[in-house]
Amino acid sequence: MSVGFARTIRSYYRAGLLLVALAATVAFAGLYAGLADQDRYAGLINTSGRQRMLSQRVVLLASRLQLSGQGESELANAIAEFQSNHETVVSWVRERPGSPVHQVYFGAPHFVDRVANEFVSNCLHFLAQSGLERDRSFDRLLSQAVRGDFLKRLNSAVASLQNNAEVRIGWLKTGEFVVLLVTWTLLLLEARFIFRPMVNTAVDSMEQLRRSETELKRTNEELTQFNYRVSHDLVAPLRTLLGQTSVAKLKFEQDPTLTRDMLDGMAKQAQSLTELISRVSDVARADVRDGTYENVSLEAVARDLLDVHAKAIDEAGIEVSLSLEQEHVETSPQRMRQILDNLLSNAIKYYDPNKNERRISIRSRKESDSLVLEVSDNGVGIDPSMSSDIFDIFVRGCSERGGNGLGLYLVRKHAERLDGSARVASPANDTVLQVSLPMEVAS
Amino acid sequence: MSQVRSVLIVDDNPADVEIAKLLLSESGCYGEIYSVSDGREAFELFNGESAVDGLGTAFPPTLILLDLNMPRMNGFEFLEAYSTLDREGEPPVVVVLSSSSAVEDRERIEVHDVVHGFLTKPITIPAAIELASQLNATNG
Repeated sequence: MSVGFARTIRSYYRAGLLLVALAATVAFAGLYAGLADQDRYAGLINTSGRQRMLSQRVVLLASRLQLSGQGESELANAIAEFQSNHETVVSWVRERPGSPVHQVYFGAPHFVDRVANEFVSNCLHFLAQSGLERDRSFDRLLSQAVRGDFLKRLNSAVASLQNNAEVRIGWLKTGEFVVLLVTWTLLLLEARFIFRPMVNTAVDSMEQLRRSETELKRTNEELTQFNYRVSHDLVAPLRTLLGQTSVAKLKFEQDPTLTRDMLDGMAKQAQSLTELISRVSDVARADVRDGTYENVSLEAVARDLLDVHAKAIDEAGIEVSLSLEQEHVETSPQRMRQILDNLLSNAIKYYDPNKNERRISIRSRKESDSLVLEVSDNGVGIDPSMSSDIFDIFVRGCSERGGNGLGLYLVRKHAERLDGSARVASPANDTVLQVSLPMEVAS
Repeated sequence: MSQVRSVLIVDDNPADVEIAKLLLSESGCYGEIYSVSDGREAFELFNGESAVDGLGTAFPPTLILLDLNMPRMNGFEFLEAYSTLDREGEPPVVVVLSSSSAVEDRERIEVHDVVHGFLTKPITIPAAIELASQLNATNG
């Protein structure tokens, strides 16, 4: 997982949380505003409803005053209340021109505002008069309140306010539904684009961690064994050399031939120590990943190695044949060369002197998506009991033929680093060692 | 001078075998000295699967000089396999002659009763004489 990806997912995650918080806030604010709005409507509806009752009360109080001359102040209070209520509702309605309520109050056919003002002025006129004029005024008042459709108009005002409130409730419902849909969509998108990738990443990271832990343990084990063996195998030739020195010192006067043999042997020990050290550094290098892959010509690599080993091949009297069906492979040239070099050296080293015809054959072919590289020889072969661990570190197949037990280990190591594998395809009667590598570079 | 009748050297390195043979015979304390090149060959001598020609009474040996690091069957594996054999008569004394001076190798060897001692390569003439006198002392 790259740092860039982690940063991207983190910003997505923050954006996701922010959007959900925003949606929740919008839902709350919408609901809160809707409730406040409805509260105000409820007040208005209540007030306009009271106007119907008040209109009747005013007429009743007026007729009582007319009949008994009592309750003037009560009437005045009722008129004032009616007037102030009307002002409250009208001032609210006036701010909503074009609305149905506005039409009811100021337009045809109801003209509630005009009719209510007429009613108030009739009432005030009635209060202000006395005697005959008051009688006439009372008649007018009564005819407006009882015979006319005053009450019906006031009813329309209430209905219109109620209707208006219901429309607003409808809007609120739709609004809340939209916010809910948006929130759900947001959550789904976040699950798809933020949470799922995050979970996948977490699972992948854990899996990767587990794998590298296993690899680390294996490497550590191998390293411990490697250290033990290297220290042993570095010391062994030196101890042999010490022995040869003491024999040479003991015998150099009485047996010059033996002394010469010992000196030759000492040179050989030094030589094998040099080889071992260079192999050990090959092993160390094989662990370093190199990213350079090229189109490698197997023929070119093989021809070059045959030149390098020409002397040994000639001395052992070996006939080498090449049969490269698959000529090219996209791979690391250094690793490819070391694989083939070690397979070839191995085949040369273990030739069988008892055979008249000694053969080595290098073959390659394509099998599905893999390159199969084989080196076969009719040499001494591999003890079948050992064929499973011949590629292990410091395992030597045969007592008599030197070797440091690192060659085939290097072959396997390189093959594994290239995502391939190495195996013994046949232990004897032609011994076949096989390496298969992916044809395409794994991305 | 005390004599060790016969010695079997088990070692895969021909140079080490040659050095040991030379120095043992130079010390003058050892009779017949012969060798095999790994633990498997040594084991096959003892279980009768194979034989070295012309040994006569030199087999079984009085002393086995055993290397540890060998292909096919190493010194540890040989000791394991050898301990499973039913054998008659005086068993040979095993002395480990190895280039290893690692403590863990000594500890792995010491569990075997047949192992008399642990020598580090190359063997020297004084060490060979010392070993011979020790062996004769224990054998009475």
